[in-house]
Amino acid sequence: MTTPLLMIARLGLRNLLRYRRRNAMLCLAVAIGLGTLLFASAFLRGWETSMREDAIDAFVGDLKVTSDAWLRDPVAEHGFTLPDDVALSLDSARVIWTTRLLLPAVIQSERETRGVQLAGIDPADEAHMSFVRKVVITGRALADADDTGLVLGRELARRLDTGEGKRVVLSLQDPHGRNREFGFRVVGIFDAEGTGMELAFALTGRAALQKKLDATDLQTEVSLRLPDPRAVHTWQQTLRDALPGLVVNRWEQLMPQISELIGFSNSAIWIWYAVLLTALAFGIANTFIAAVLERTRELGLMQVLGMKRSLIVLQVVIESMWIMVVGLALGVILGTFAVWYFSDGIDLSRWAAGAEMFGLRAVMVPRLVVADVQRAVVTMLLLGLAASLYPAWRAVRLNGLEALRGRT
Amino acid sequence: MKGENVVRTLALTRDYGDGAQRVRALDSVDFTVDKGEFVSLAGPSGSGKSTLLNLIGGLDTPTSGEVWVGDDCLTAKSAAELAHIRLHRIGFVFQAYNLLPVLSARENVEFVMQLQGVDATERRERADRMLDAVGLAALADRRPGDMSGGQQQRVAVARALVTEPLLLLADEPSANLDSETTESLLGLLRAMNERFATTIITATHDPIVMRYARRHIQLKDGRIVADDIGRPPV
Ligand SMILES: Nc1ncnc2c1ncn2[C@@H]1O[C@H](COP(=O)(O)OP(=O)(O)OP(=O)(O)O)[C@@H](O)[C@H]1O
Ligand SMILES: [Mg+2]
Repeated sequence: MTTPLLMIARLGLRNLLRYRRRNAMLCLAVAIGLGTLLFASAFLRGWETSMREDAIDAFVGDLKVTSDAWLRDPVAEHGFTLPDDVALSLDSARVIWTTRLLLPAVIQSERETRGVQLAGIDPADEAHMSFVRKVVITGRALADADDTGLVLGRELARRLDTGEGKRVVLSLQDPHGRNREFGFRVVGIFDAEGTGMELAFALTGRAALQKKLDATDLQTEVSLRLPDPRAVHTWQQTLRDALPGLVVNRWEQLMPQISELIGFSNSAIWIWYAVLLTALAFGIANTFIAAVLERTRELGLMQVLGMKRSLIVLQVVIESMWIMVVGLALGVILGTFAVWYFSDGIDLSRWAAGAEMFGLRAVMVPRLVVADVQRAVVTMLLLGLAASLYPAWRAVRLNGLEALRGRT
Repeated sequence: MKGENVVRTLALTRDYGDGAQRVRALDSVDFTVDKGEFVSLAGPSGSGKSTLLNLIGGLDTPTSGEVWVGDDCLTAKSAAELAHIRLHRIGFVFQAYNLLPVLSARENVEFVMQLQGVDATERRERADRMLDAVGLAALADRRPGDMSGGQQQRVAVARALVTEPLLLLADEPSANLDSETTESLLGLLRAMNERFATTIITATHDPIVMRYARRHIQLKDGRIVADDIGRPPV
């Protein structure tokens, strides 16, 4: 029966126009509520993403192979050599991977002494996987794995009061447990946007470092980036089988605090949703209920004239849903616009002097996740449905006559 | 049951409230109305006029007894079935709030036909014809808010009659009207009654309304105390 549907559509539209102002306000409230909700969750998602990326980029990777002993005591003695057949199978499997020689060292300039992780890397590999690919370098970058130069973080260089072209001395243990000292020339300074990387790592060529230590092919870790992160468990198992005696960890296992923090952020999003939605739901329900009560007489008249209760309820619900749909559409546009507007990143440094401590980058890029949008829109639609269904049902539950007389 | 009876009640009783507050609004009323009758229900306030009309209109359920409208015994019907009977067989005119405020006069008249599923062309034609008959052709596009009380009542009559119902129920249709407007509204009802042989039952205090009716029933304390079948109109 299309006629009654057309009729209730017309009635609905007329009623929407009749309370133009109120309905426009309600639409706006829904739009602003949803827009804020989406932007805030995009902000949290952005933070989450940068946390995860930074964690993975901190010489971790989706998966990392080390010796068990190195995890407890990361010294050269606990290094290993990756068997050729495993290296070959990694190459043929189209994953991005590299090996590193990561050793704790003491770095000394003419003025200062500090602890640092000396990282022997292959810059060609790192160009695809770690924070090294993102840093801005003054001076020159490492040319290849045989490069004997040293690249320091800006903050470390500042604290050591050293710079490009100067010499520093690094003391470390060789694989036989002997203390050795090596002179390095600082060839470049990297800027990692103030993240901890600048203080944590000093970079040099992997082969050059191996040569200095007389330990060809010695490495302390193999690090992998997977094209599809969902395959991480399969890869973990494959590598464990291929490399008995070594341990294979996912990034979450290596950085449990960060993974927990992200889990916490997820719950924060849920709580945020719940709070905002509850507030909105009350507002919407209140308005819808008031709007229906105001029209009890009309609804009673419809019932008296022989309109089916279900059709009356449908009419009221369709009316409310129009407001919800328009408001939600505006809200999605609003939220998306805000996220787009800030797509170059929000500069947090002005407000959050200590932001870096929490792993926050100075610039945060909000990220809108489709599932978040869906979840918010569906929840709000359901809330709107309930908030209009309830008073409509109450109104028609009255006998039409009582309603017509204005009893509630 | 006699075929021409449009309305028939059997020991119709309606109580309101419980216990000490119990009020017998209608007390075992038996009466019948035949096709084409124009009946007025009179009686003091609280005598049960509205209660009786509402029971006949399927808007209320009796405490005991039966109401028949045509071949349907309303007492045994569900809410949905009663709605269907109201939609197809009964027209209503109330004292006030007869019209949907967002619809024009014409759309209000079309409303019930729309619920019945009458197609658009026919609906429009019938609505215009009926608005013409109640003298409101010129105001077809106005909304109730822009019409006088008398005009609104005329639209309500047009709406009630356009579906050619078996029965028209009017509860104090003139309560908000001046005597001149009442005369013209009742003239209209009377004309409709004669033209379409529509059965009309109206509850009223208004002597003008009673003057236009052909049969006069007096209620008191929920009982019929007088019924002047056969008495010619004044
Ligand atoms: N919904 C109700 N709840 C309780 N009592 C009611 C209700 N409706 C009517 N009554 C009572 O039933 C009795 C009859 O009421 P009814 O409305 O039928 O009288 P009436 O003849 O139409 O009066 P009036 O001329 O004032 O309209 C009255 O005593 C009234 O108080
Ligand atoms: Mg009454």
